[in-house]
Amino acid sequence: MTWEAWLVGMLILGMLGALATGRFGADIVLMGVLVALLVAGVLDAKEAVSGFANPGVITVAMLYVVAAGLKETGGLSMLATPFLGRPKSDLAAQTRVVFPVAVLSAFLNNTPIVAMFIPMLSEWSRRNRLALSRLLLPLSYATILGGCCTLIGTSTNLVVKSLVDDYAASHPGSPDVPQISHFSMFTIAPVGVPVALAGLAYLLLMGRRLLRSGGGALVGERAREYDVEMIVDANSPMVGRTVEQAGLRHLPGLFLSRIERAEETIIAVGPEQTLRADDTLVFVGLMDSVKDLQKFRGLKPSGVKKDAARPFNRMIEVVISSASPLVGQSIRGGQFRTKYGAVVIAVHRYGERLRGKIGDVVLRPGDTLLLEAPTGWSRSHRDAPDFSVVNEHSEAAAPRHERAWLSIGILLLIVLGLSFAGKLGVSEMTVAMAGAAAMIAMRCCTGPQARASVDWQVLIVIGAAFGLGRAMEKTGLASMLAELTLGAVSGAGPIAMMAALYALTLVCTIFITNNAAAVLAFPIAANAAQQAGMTDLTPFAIVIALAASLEFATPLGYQTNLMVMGPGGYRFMDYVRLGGPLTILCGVVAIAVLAVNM
Amino acid sequence: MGWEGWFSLGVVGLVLGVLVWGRIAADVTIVGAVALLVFVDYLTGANILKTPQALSGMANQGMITVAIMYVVVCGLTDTGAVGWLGQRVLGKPRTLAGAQLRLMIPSAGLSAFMNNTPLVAMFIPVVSEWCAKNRISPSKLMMPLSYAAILGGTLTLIGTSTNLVVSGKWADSGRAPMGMFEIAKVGLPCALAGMLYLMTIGRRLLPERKAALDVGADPRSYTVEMTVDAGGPLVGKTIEQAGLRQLPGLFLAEIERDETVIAAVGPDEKLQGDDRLVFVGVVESIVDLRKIRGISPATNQVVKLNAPRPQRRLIEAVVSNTSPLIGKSVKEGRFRSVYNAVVIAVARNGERLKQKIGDIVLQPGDTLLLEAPRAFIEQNKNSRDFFLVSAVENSTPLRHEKAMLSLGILTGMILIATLQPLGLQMIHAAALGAGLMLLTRCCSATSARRSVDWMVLVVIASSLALGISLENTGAAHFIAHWMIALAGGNPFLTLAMVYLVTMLLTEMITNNAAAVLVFSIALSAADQLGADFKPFAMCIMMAASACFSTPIGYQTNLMVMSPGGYRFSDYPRVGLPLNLLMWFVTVPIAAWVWPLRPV
Repeated sequence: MTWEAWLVGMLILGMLGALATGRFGADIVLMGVLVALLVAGVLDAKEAVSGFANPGVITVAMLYVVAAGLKETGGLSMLATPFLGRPKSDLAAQTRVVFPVAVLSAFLNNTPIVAMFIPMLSEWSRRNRLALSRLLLPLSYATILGGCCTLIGTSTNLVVKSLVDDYAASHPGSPDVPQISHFSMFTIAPVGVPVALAGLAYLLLMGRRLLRSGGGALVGERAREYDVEMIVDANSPMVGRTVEQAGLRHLPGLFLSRIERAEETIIAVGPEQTLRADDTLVFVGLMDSVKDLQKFRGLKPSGVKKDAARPFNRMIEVVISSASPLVGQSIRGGQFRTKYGAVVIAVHRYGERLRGKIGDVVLRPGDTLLLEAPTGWSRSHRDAPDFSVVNEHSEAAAPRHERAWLSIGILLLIVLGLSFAGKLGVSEMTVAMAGAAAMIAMRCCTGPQARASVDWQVLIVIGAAFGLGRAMEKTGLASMLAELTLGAVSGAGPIAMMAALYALTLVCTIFITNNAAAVLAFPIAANAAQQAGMTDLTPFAIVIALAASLEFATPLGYQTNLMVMGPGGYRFMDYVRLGGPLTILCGVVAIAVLAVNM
Repeated sequence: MGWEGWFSLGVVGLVLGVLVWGRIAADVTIVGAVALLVFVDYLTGANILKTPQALSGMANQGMITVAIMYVVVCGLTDTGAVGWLGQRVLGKPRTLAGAQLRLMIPSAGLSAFMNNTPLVAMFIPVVSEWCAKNRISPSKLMMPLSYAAILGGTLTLIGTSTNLVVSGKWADSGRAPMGMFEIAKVGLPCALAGMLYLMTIGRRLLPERKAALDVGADPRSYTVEMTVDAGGPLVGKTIEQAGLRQLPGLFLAEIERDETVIAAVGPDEKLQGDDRLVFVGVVESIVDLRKIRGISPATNQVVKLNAPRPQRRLIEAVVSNTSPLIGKSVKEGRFRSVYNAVVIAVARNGERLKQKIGDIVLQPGDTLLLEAPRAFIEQNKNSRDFFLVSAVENSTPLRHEKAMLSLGILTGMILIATLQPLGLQMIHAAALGAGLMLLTRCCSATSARRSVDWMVLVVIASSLALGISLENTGAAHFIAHWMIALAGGNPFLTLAMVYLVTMLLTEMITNNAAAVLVFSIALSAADQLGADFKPFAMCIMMAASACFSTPIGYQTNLMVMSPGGYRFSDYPRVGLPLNLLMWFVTVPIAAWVWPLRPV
C-alpha cells in the first residue's frame, strides 16, 4: 500500500469522525479533506475541482431553481393539498408521503422528486402542525427505496445494465464463465420490491421513534399577537367551502376570530361556517403564522384594492414612534399607503384586541405594523423618525398565484423530459437547465429568489465528494478494499460471497458516487462468481445495483440524503440512528430473497 | 464561418445588450445564454457548445481560486485586519485624487509581482471600510482599484498569466526568451498614462453611486459609550489621527476623563487610556464603531455574557408598555441576567440621554441596542416585553486579537503564490490560506459561507462557456483574420490592428484564449510582411490584459461591481476611453522601441 493510499484512508476516517461529532458543517469538512489531498499532491488541481463541473451537481442546482418557481407561485401547495390531505398525526403524514413517493420514484429520477417535495412538505407541515424533521428523511429514504424497483428508477441501475450488456458482449456463450442474460425493466423488481416494502414498513414503524420532532410554534402567555384582516377573493377556490375545508381551522399560532360580511359579523366562527366571496376574515396570531397566511390562494389583505394584483413583495415590521406624524390618525385617514408606499397587513397593540376595521384603527405610539412593501423600502425608511425600528423579513410576501398553473406545466415538461432524457439523447442537465430558464423567463420566480433558493452547501459537498472518490480510485485504495473483503470470504459459498459483495459496494458508495461504486464492484463480482462456480451472474449484478443505492447510514451515500440535511435540521448521527438499521435490514432482505430464489 | 459562428456571435451581442440595459441580473442573463447555446447545439447537432464544455467553467481553477479567496478575505475582515491595512495603505488623504493615488500605486506595484485576484479581493473590504469612514462613495475607488491591478500586471513577465502564456509561445517559436522586465518598456508608460487618466478625466466619469451616510435632521440616534483600551493602539493619538473625527452618521459628543467632562471635543484632543468616549449616531455607524481597534464598549457587562463571541450580534429591541422593565434602570432591572443580553445603547426619539447606560430608566418606546447571542431573537420575537426585535446586519463582534495572525496567513499565502515552492500554485496557496483562516478561527464557518459571492462565481464560470462557444464555432478566428486583413499590408497598421483585435476578443473570451488565438495569426501576418515579431508579441500581451470596458472581461472587474454599486454601463463609460488611450500609447511606443523592420 502506498503512502498516498494510507493518507486517503486516514483522511476518510478523520472525515467520518469529524462529521459524527456534528460540530462542523459537512461542506467545511469535505473541503478540508479536499484541500489536504490537493496540498499533499495526491490530487492535482484539475482533478480536485473537476467535481464542481459534474453535470449531476449542476442538475441539482438547476432543480433548486425549478422548485423555487413552484414555491413562489404557490404551485406546490396546489399540487400538495389534494395529494397529501390534512393528516392528524405524524404517522398518517408519513404514510401519505412515503408510499406515493416510492411509487413515483420507481419511474422518475430521485433528485427532482426530493427537490420538489422539500419546500412542499415544509409548507404543508407548518399548516398541519406536523414535525418536518419526521418527514424529510423518510422522504429521501422512500425515493431511494422506490428507485430500486425498476431499471429506470435510478441511474445506477442503468449503469449496471450497461455493464451487464458489455459483459454479455465480451463473453458470448463461453462455458467456463458465468453467463448473464439481458437486464430488462423489471429484472430487479423481484428483489427490489420486497426490499422496498420492508424498508417502508420499517420507516413507518421506527421513523417516529428515532427522529426528534422539531419544536412547534409557540403560543405563550406573553406572546405578541397581530390582528389581520384578509378578504376572500371573488374567484377564490375558498368560496363555498367551509372553514374546515379551506384549511383555516388548525393553523398553528393563529385563529380566526370573526368573519365580517356585508351586514353581519359572525363572532364565534364554527368549522362548518361556509365562506363567501368578499367575506372579511379577521385573524389573530403570531408573526410567522401571519406570514404563512399570506400564502393562501384566494385570500388578500384588506389594504390591497379589490381584484388588483398584490403590488409589493417584501414583508416589513415597523413600530410607530412617539414622534411619528401618524400618531392619532387612522391608517386610512392618515393615507398610509399614499404617504409611505406600503400596505398595512396587520396591527399589533400590546395585549389589546383591536375592534373595527384595520383601516379605522387610530394609531398610537408603540403600535407595531406589519407592512407589505416594495424592495428597498426598509433601506429608505430605516432611519426615518416616524418608526422606532424597521425590520425586514427575508421571504417574499405573497406567492404569484396567477402563475401557479404555468409553473406546474413547466414541472410536467421537466418530469417528462427527465424521464425520456435517455431516449431523446439530451442530458438531464440540459432539461433541468431549460426548466430553470423557463421558470425565470416566465416570471414564476425572480432572479434573486432563484439565487437564494440554491443550497450551495449541498453542491459543495457533492462536488468535493467527487474529488475524494477520485483520490480513492487513483491511489488504489478502492480496489485494495475489494480484494481484502472478497479474500476473507473466498471459498465460503455463493451466499457469503454475495453478502461480502453487498457490504463492499455499500462502503464504496459512501465515498465514491453510486455509479462509480457499481462500476468498481462489477468486475470483482464477475470474478467472484466464477470462483464460486456460479453459472448465472444475474444475482450478483442485482446485489451490486441494490447495494450501490441502498446506503442510508450517512448523508454522503446519496445526494437526496444531503439535500434534506439542512431543511430537516438533521445531524450526522440522525442518519446513523435511523439509516443504520435500515441499511442492514435492506441488505438482509435482499440477500435472503436472492438465496431463496437460487 | 458557418451559421453557428454568426449565431454564437449574435448570442454574445445579445448578452452584452441585455447587460448594458441593466434590468436583468448578470448571472441570470449569462446562464440563460449558455443554456440557449447548449440547447441549440442539442437541437441542431452543430458544434456550438457541448454540455461538458458549458460546465467546464465551474471547475475552472481561476474561478475556484476566486471562490476560495473570498474565505481568506473573510478571515481578514472578521479579525479587523482589514481596517488596520486600510490605515496603513490609504492613510488620510485630503482629496479624492490623493486617495486614488494612494490606492493605485501600491496595488499596481504589488500586482506586477502577484496575482491580481487575491490583491483585489484583499483590497475591496479595505476600500469599502475606508470609504465609509471618510464619507467617500466607494464607486470612485473600486474601479480604479481593479484597473490599477490590471495595469500593474503588464509591468513584468510574471505580472499576469497571460504574459507567461505569450512568452511561452514566443519561446516555443525558437526565439531567445523574453526578459523579466522587457515588457515594462511599454507597460510602464501605459500604467502611468492610465493612472493619470483615472485621476483626472476618469474621476469625473466615475459615477457617484452611494451617497455617504450622514446625520440627518432627526434620525433615530443612539447614545453609546466606548472606552479607550489602556495600552491599545489609540492611546496618545489625537481624535483626528485615531480616525474618530469624521465618522459618517456619528459624532463624538464628549469625553469623560477622571471625573472631568470634555464637552466640545476638538480634533487635536489627545486620547488617554480609559477615556470614556460618548458617541451619538445611527445604528449602522455604531456597528462600524465597534470595528475600530483600540476602543471597546464601556459597559463591563459584555464580558459576562454567556455566549461565545462569534455567536453574538447586535439586536435592536423596542421596550413595550407591558414590559416589566418599565420604570427601572437597566441595572435595577438586571437586564443581563434576565435576558442574557447587554444594553449597548439606548435611543429615545432623538433625545440625547445624559446618564450612564446602567442608570437610564427605561420608558415604553425606548429602542435598545443589545449585544446578545443570536438565539435572543428566536426567544423574544413573540415576547410582549418588546414591541419588536430585529437583528442588525453584519454586527458580529470582530476578533481583533487575531488580526496579526490573519495578516500572517495572508503574507504566507502571497509568498507561496509568488514563489511557488514545491510546485504549489496559486490555487494551493489560496486553499491553504482559507483552511488556516478557518482552523485558527479567524473566521467562522458560517461567516465564511456567507462571504462567498456566488453571483460573481456563476458569472465567471458561465462567461468562460460563452468564450468557448466563440472559439468552437470559429467566430473568434474569423474576427481576428478579417480585421487583420483590413490593415492592407502596412506593418504599422497591422500592428495597430493586432492590438485592436486582441483587445476586442479579450473582452469576450478569456485573456489567455485571446492571446493564444491572435498570437498565431499575428505571427503569420508578421512573417508575410517581413516585420520583426517582437512588437507584435508585446502588443498582444498588453492588449490581452487591457479589459476595461466590460465587467465580464476580467474577473477583478466583476468582483468590484457590487461593492462599488456599479451598473454594466459604467464600465464602458470609464473603460472605453482608457482602452483607446492604451491603444494610442502602446502601439507607437512598441513600434519605436522595437523597430518593425529589422535593420
